[in-house]
Amino acid sequence: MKCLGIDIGGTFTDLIIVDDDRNVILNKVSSTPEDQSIGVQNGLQKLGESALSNLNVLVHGTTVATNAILERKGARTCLITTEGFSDLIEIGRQDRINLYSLTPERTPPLIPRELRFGVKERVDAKGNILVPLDSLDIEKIKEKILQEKVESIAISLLFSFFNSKHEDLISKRIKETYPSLHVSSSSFVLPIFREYERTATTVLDAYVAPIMRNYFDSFYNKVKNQGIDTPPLVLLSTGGVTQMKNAAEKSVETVLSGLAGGVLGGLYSCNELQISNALTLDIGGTSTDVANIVNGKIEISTDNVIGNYPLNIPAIAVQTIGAGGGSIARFEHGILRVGPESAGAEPGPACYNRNGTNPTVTDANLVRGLLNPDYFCGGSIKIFPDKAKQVISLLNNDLNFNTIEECAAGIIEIYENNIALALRKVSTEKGYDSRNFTLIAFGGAGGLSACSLGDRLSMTSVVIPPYPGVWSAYGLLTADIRHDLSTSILKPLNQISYEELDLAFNDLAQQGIKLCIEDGFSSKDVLVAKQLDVRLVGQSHELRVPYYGQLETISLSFDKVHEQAYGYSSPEEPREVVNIRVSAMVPLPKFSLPTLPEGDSNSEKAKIGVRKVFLKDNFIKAAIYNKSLLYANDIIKGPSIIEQADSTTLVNEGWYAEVKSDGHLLLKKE
Amino acid sequence: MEQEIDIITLSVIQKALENITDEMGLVLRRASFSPNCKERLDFSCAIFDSEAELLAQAEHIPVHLGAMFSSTFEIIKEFPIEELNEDDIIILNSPFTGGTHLPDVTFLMPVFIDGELTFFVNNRAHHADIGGATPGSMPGISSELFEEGLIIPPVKLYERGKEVTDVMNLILANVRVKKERLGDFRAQRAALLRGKERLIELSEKYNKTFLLNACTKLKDLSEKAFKSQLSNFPNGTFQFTDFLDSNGISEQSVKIKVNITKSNGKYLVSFNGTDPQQTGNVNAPQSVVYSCVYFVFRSLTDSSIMTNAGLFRNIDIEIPEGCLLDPKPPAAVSSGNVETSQRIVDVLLGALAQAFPQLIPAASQGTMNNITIGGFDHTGKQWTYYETIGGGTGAGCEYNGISGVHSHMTNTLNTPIEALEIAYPLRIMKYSFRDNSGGIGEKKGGDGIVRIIKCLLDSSVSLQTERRKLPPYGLNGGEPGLKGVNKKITIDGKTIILPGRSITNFLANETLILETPGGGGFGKRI
Repeated sequence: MKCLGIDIGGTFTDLIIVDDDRNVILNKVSSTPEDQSIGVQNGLQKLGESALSNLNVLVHGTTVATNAILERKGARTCLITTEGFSDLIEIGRQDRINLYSLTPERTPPLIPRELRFGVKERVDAKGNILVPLDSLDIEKIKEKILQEKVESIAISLLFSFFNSKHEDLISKRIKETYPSLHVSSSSFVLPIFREYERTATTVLDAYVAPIMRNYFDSFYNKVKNQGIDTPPLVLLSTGGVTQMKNAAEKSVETVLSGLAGGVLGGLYSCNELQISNALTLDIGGTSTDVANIVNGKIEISTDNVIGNYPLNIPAIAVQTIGAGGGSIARFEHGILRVGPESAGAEPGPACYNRNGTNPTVTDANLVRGLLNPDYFCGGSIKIFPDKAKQVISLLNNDLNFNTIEECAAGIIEIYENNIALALRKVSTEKGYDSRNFTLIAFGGAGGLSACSLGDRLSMTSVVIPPYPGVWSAYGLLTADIRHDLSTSILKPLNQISYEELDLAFNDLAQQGIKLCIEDGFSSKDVLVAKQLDVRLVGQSHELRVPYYGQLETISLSFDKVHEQAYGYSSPEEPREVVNIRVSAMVPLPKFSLPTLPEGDSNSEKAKIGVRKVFLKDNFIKAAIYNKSLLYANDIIKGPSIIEQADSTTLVNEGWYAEVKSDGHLLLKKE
Repeated sequence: MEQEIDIITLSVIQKALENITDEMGLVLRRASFSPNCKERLDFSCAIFDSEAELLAQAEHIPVHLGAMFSSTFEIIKEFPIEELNEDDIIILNSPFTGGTHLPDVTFLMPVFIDGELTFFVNNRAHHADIGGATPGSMPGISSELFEEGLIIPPVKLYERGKEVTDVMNLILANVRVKKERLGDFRAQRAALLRGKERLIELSEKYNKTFLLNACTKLKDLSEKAFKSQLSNFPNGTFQFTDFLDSNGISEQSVKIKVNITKSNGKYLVSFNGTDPQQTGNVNAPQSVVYSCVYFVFRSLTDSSIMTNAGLFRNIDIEIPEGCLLDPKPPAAVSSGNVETSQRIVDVLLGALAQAFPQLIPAASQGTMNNITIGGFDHTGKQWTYYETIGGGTGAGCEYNGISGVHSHMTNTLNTPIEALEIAYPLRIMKYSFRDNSGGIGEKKGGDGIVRIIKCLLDSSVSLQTERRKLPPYGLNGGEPGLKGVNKKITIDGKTIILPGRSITNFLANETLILETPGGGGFGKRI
């Protein structure tokens, strides 16, 4: 068994090959934002034919859909709604983004008004047809589609989750006339109540579908040209995978694909080191992604947002903030701020010497002596300490620190404080005590701040994965086949019969099993998990509880979850079932990483020098180690720095690092 | 001796304070029952020092901006610091002692550090009902505060962490859905406790004196930033007058007048010349006026400046005794918070437009279009639906207004149509932009909204809406936005125009049409 993971980020495309014999091959090439598949091709060519021979599985994490939405470069899409409601997608929830401003703003909708069409029809709140669908309206819309050169169609009618007849009919009529156009119906994409969120999610699906189909085709061709004939799997926002041809049917599920790989990587580290509660921390060039793992489980949320558009399909609950190596430091109104603006890949931090003039986090770390100018990204990017010193000293004109190193340490203090607040949001603010959690830090810049962030959250153990810079790509190889389906029920619990509920669940389960079969598995491989969204009558936020095939357990589970979430429960109050959800999963085989030779805790052999670094408020001498020379069980006492091609780890004073046999570093507070 | 505080620590403390108020908001939203809190985010959380000076506030809704400070100030007037103990909670909603309108209930808790009262945490939430003549406690027509609900002066609801059962029982006996109120009160308390816990953590990290010095420094920084940002504000007096359509009872226009004077870097905002206290519910308590003035100045300054007491230190507000902006008991006020506040902003911006002709936009819709519909369902159970509706915003020198959005003093979310049709005997027939309602100009005002609601059963419809008689003004030759219109379509198809403020009975299958105002245009269209 041999697997290839391909993860595309804003700056780099990471490739990783792992096989049953514990061989690992890593590769990093520049990303090609115009057509990401070109970067993939470059990476594959660099890996070479023999590395790619006999490949069994290929998993891909992509940001193509994400970028199409954020950059508003999706397909020319039209929207069909119930007559009288075609502006709803623009009105949204009637709120503005900026509370205190003389120029209120609203994110413009992805579909302009001239491409939004109403049809005469109406379904009521019970699913009864009040006004039958007007055929003439459909004919008129069909003409418009041709005139306006529409490439993709979203249909979202009121109460279609109770009765999809009208949506189905419109879809059928359009497909008869224009078989090549993509059609997304809300009753298929997200058959869940709340019209704005459902419509917005359906629009996102239609908006990215043609783009994703093209991309998948082009990806598939490039991969095939390199002699790979296994059908590629793509990572979904839930952390599950499916074949690309399945993903193309509901491409909105890939919108947060790029964030999911890192969390899966973190979960893998947890499993390897027998950690049940952890916070994952992925610090990249422009952003930091944090997520929690509680009792060995990743949190899935249906309340997601992308570029101010709601995205109410299940996705890994990741908190993203604008903090990374490229984050810019600036002095404003007497306060030092770092990020969210980033120098990005171009021009990049000042030390890249590509005309960047703003001081960034990477510049500050270079000034502190934490980065090796000759071994940044394994030596593939040349960095210039002079340039970094220049911009930091310019900033210091306003800040008046005695030295530029102090100024640099100040920038890092603010930056790490921002990340610590994000970590608090996924831990203490959700009622989890961070002291009982382990921090799993990765991404190019994760290792430098890991101990310091651990200290800030009173965490006493931190894990650095074996390949921190490509850990998201490795995470891809740990994913399982997964399909999520849901539908709205909206009925008081005491009015639902067991038969009715079971029928609804089975219907969803059959759909999920069918998708798994399409992925090449047999129905007996499929594991099905069932959940319900329940709330007290009168509440408007639902809580998720498991379904074990018994009505009685629903109430008990709900009270328990309510108590945990809000601090009290109300067993005497009536409750209602809002939605039901099914996940159909097929576990895929897992790999092990190569084992290091056994050491005897003496790490002297890997020591490659000593460097003066600025920590806290003074210079100290830190020992420098080369990660590839370390053995299992080796111990490294802080303060020291561990260098490897894809990342740098700082072991702070008061911490020590233990090398695990598969290359994980376990950092512990003394 | 004042310790030297470095910029880094200061920046970290500032962010920590902001984060504490955000976290309080999160707790409140998750645990509350009132749709106004959980769905529409109609609440605020703040931290004050022991002098009742604002240190940080979670920004959810502008109309609470100055009101939070007023209530804290009133409470320490009523309860000298030595009478406050750890884990006491003071509750209040009286508009005459720092409240806004009765459904907005404020909770305040002192935070003791090293045995000394050092901070206050407080929050304010719009409850679904607080008693009075009509469900929802926002009667379309009222002439005494007593009709609008239970009046709670500052009283202790918790004493040293223990619920004062007598007070709690008294309150619950006067509201419509006891359990829901109790749930909301618990949520408000949980949020305060979270804030207290975090402030204690922060004080342990930095030590109290250091932390308080940092807070003083942060306020000074905001004051300095405010001054430098408004250094181009010309010296002189700028005046503007506008009117409310009605005094809440009769179709009698009500005048609001402002003079903004800048001299020696200070701003005097005087409402001299404003009409006296009114018999209807358009009276706006002082705290609402403060919120409006602070909102306008907050919007004039860069959003990266911290919101704290320092920001507003150079603004003096003068409200003439006996006018509708300083109502005396038993004045009705339920519309002051939601409607009069919008007009106060209109006159403030109108005056500022003379100081900054290129910066200030024309008038936005100038109303929140409050609708309350209620009745009895098939099973005889009482139901109430409350909603506010967006409209057009004013155009500016370089931009068009935007359509169908909440402006100025509110930013609450709408109720999903599918959610409300499942819950209430109502059907929404249309929810769209109101074409060509934005004022014409070189830059066009935003369009209003058309919302058509069919009552499926006999219902009572209560409206509090403005800009039905006098349109939102344009600027620099731009035309005003279209006035709003409220209509009833009877069963036999007749159209009846409803006044801006009214309580009307609708029969089953009769329809309410609301057309909300457009924003004013900017500049003459050539």
